[in-house]
Amino acid sequence: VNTQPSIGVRADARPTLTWRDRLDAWRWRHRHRVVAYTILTPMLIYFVLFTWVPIVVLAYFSLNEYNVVQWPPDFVGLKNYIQIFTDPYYHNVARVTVTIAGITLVMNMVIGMAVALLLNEKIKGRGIFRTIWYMPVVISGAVMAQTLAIFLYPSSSGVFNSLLGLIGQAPVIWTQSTFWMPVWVILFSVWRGVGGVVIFFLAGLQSIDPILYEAARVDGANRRQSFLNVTLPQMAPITLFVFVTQCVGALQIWEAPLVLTFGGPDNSTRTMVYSLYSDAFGNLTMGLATAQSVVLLIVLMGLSAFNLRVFRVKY
Amino acid sequence: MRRSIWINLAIYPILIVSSVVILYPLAFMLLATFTSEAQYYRTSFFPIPDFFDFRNYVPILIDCTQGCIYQSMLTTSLREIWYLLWMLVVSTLGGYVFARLSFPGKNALFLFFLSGLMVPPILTMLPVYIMMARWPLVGDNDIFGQGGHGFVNSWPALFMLGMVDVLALFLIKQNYEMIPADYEEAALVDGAGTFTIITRVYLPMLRPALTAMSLLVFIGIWNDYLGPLIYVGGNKDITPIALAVQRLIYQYTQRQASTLADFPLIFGATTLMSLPPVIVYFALQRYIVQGLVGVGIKG
Repeated sequence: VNTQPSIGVRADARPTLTWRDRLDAWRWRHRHRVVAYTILTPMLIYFVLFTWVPIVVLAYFSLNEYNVVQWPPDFVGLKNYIQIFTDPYYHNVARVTVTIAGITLVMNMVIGMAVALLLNEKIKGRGIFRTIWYMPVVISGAVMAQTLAIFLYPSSSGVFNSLLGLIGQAPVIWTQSTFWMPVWVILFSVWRGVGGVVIFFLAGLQSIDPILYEAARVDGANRRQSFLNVTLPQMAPITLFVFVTQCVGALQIWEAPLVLTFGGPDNSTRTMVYSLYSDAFGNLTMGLATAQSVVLLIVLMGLSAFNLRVFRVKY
Repeated sequence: MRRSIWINLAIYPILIVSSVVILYPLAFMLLATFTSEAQYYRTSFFPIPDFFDFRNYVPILIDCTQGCIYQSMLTTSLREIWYLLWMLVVSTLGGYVFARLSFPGKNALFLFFLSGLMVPPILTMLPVYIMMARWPLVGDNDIFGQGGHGFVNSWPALFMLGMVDVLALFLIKQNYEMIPADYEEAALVDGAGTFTIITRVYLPMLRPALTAMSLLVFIGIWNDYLGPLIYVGGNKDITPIALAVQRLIYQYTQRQASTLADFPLIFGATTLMSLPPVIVYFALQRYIVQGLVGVGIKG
């Protein structure tokens, strides 16, 4: 009996073949889908269970009042959403989230682009600077936020206060200032996030075809003109991509608010992700927390969907 | 093209000043571990070391008077191995399937996995927590998921989430597509099976991209704080490194709130926690641009 699978196509035309041959032939003809479905089925089940089932669960609990323990949860319809959209407390959360995210985003983009342009010049020590700029990204945000908390110590032994002392200023009680804490949250997020932006922009700058610059030079363009007419238009797509990605990231800031002041003082750093965390595990109001998650999820998925759609080529 | 004098003049001052700002907290952290308490308070905005031994690391590494960091490092290392393995398996197999095979429903399935990139894990944290807490027949739960704690505060909670890394899957798939199919055809002619083809033919060529993804996974797991805090935060015996260091800092600062805390010891802990990712990053940084950004953005 010929068990070579390569007889494939003509196999089932011959009645003398055993079931074993038929099976082999079938497997050979469908080898792609056999392999594909074998590999993908467990992955798919896992993916659905831990990515899409949670979203359904999320949507369900946002229509309920639930304190994690009592069962069944109380169905309250849209009450949680109404509270989120009408309660001034949650208006404040939204305002804080958008303000902190917006300023962080702008600073990340501007500084990131500027530094990437500088690092794209052929200068000595470029590699070292690049290494330095990316370093905050690899270190734990929670730990660095804790370090910042130590720097912000109110007494004169706090780092920033002793720096103030150097220029003859009185110590500031940072953690009680509704002006300074959002500022520190923003500065912390920029410090931590800008390295990633630099890396993306650098990759973009380095993938611009040198021929374009050459052509500009031949046409008599000076440095400024070739920057305006070659670099900027070539960088437009990646800038949009980084902008949207950073937007998604900036709307999820939670480390510094949690570690520094637990959203305080006076809720001035209560960002949405921190707010839903504290609603869920501090106040045990799972319904409100999940409703906030749903609102934020819709915004973020919209942004990411835009990104995936526009940059479809990439994937 | 000639650089203008302005740029030449500005470039180094700007780069150096900004690098100082970036490095300041890190240098502070490291130097503070080589100071005594008294010296630390004397030079509070930039600690000047007064000895160069590791006495500030001893309490957390060897004495374990305030809790030990060993077990946490071991716990986190186990997670690292586990998640690195799954990332490698899932992305090489899945990437192969989507890049090299043709089967009905391929595009739809691919887009479906792609949708995973749109869902920030931090926002599915609450429902996943509820699911794990109410998992039937686990951790004293009855068949309806009531009465016990489910997976929450137990070991599986640290290992059961995020095993399918969608981002890695896509980047590796992208890398597969850049490899000419000739290699695979040659191996097929020689009678190699799918598994042999993936491990012997493709794996060596995917090494840069896989290294880049491993770096990301390593750093992500090492620094993972919110996940452990929520899923095992109530169990004092299970403390991944980020959680352990955070608790240590908390103990040191909160308990001694009346007096001043022993900051050099605290910075010893944070330095220890920061070292592994920094070392791995230094060793593998060239792959970041090469294997990751290069593939993700071009094209």
